[in-house]
Amino acid sequence: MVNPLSVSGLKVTLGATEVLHGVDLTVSRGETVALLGANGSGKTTLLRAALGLIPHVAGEVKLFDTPPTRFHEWSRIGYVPQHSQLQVLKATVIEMVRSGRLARRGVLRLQNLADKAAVTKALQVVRMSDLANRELTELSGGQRQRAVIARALAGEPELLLLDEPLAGLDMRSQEALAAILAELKAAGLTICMVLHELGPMKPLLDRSVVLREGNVIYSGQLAGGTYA
Amino acid sequence: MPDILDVLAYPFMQRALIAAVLSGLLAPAVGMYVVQRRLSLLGDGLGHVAIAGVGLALVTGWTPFPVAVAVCVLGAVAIEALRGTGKAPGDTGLAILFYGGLALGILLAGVANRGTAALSQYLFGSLTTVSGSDVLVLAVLCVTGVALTLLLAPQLFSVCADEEYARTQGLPVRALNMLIVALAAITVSASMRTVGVLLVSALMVVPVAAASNIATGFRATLLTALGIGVAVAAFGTLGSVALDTPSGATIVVLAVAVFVLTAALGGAIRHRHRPPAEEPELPTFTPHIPAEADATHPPETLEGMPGTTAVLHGDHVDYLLHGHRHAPHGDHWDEH
Ligand SMILES: Nc1ncnc2c1ncn2[C@@H]1O[C@H](COP(=O)(O)OP(=O)(O)OP(=O)(O)O)[C@@H](O)[C@H]1O
Ligand SMILES: [Mg+2]
Repeated sequence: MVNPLSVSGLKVTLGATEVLHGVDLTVSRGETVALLGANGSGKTTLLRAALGLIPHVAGEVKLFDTPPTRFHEWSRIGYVPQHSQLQVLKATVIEMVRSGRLARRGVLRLQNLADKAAVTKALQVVRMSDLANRELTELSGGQRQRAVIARALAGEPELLLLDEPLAGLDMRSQEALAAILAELKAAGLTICMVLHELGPMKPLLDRSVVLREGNVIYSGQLAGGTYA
Repeated sequence: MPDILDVLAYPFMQRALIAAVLSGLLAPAVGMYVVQRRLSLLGDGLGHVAIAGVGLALVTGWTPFPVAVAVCVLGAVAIEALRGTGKAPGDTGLAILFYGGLALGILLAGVANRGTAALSQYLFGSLTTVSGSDVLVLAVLCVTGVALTLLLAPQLFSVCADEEYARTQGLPVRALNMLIVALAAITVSASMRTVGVLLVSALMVVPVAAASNIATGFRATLLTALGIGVAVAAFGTLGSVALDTPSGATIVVLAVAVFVLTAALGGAIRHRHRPPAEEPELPTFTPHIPAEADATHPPETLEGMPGTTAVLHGDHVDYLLHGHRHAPHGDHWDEH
């Protein structure tokens, strides 16, 4: 079966320094993998290179068996960036969440019922329905993070890449997110997420991968201790 | 003071009004994205490049308007292509291009023995000398530009909001960025005859800024900006006839006046409708307000609440239901 994400021998340089020194990471279908490691160990870089947002100098990246440069089925992928810059003038929460459907909608097609239902559901899941028409600039940090998560969920992806999704979320929101991810996982969603604390995500995780200074130093069952 | 209606009987005046309204529609539609991308100064600079096109046309005897549009779009595409490859021309590089273009235009006009007088109608706009073919070119550019900005609004929005995320949605980010810059160039050069290249950036930016004072949401702001753009262009043109003032300047001063007015109005609205300090719990009865609804574009009825009627009431909208007036107020409903 095709692996949603497979990275091998990945080397990435940012500026003048090599940040990833030959990383291997395979996430198979239905699996939930935690990406752990200290600040600056290269977790965000790994996700961004996997999505083809930054080029790699060596190695191979495959999304559903296709290199990102030739990949077209972006509706199969959801992404929650670590630091979203949402600098768009006057945009409301729901307008931003709707943009998570664009890979499905394509060009010159109005929203259909499925699009609207997915957006409504995503807002409910992150408990942002009441704030749907609030401007992004008027949100707290945690509320904004929830909106960004809703944007990724609205796309109904098969592979979900989350970069520190729990950062800034209150306990109730963390639990709500873990609950929906558990539900989606049961329905077959593949998840790879960067975490510093496992928190309520712990029961979901099948495996953890630990990075240190741009190398994978551990990959396997969740061990007891902390990594970061 | 000439009678406005009498003046409107003249074909040149009708052409002027049509041209002004077309500019007033196109400029804010493109301006919405120009503002997001912080390109308003680029727009200004592109106007200088357009002048080089006018100079070229004066020397060669071609029609100035289409040549200026072509030169301006070429310049914009070249700049964006360089930026896309990471070889962005720096501040100095852009200044050289812009002022080089302006100087070249003036020089060529001199060579053509037309002096700077021929250029001034492009610098400051000259609505009353707009020809029938000018109106036609402007109409084609305007309809194309506005159609593109509206039809591709979700894609352009996504690219402006978060370029990296847009790429993970499979959007052609570079092409869309190129489109925004090309549309800016088209707007600038197309508006030469109406407000003039020196003031066109104002027509792109000021209606958008005014709309963002009073509207909530990207879509609502875009539509409000289009409305303001058309209104100031039309009334500015008529005003310039009534007051015998230069049309471009009159339009822009009117736009700035609308901005000041909306800033005061927006402040008052925000003061009255301060958002609740805490997240409210779900009220037991929550009528669904369509996302498009706001103070300037109220929905006719409430979705899921047939039998309601929208009634403008001061600065907000009431909905008539069972003979009571209900007004959205923050997250709850007031009975009026
Ligand atoms: N634009 C850049 N140019 C040069 N080096 C960079 C750049 N961005 C990141 N780095 C370096 O790359 C390394 C990995 O960064 P990365 O953002 O992937 O870390 P991370 O594991 O996600 O850390 P965190 O837990 O803080 O999010 C860091 O040492 C950082 O200093
Ligand atoms: Mg990171």
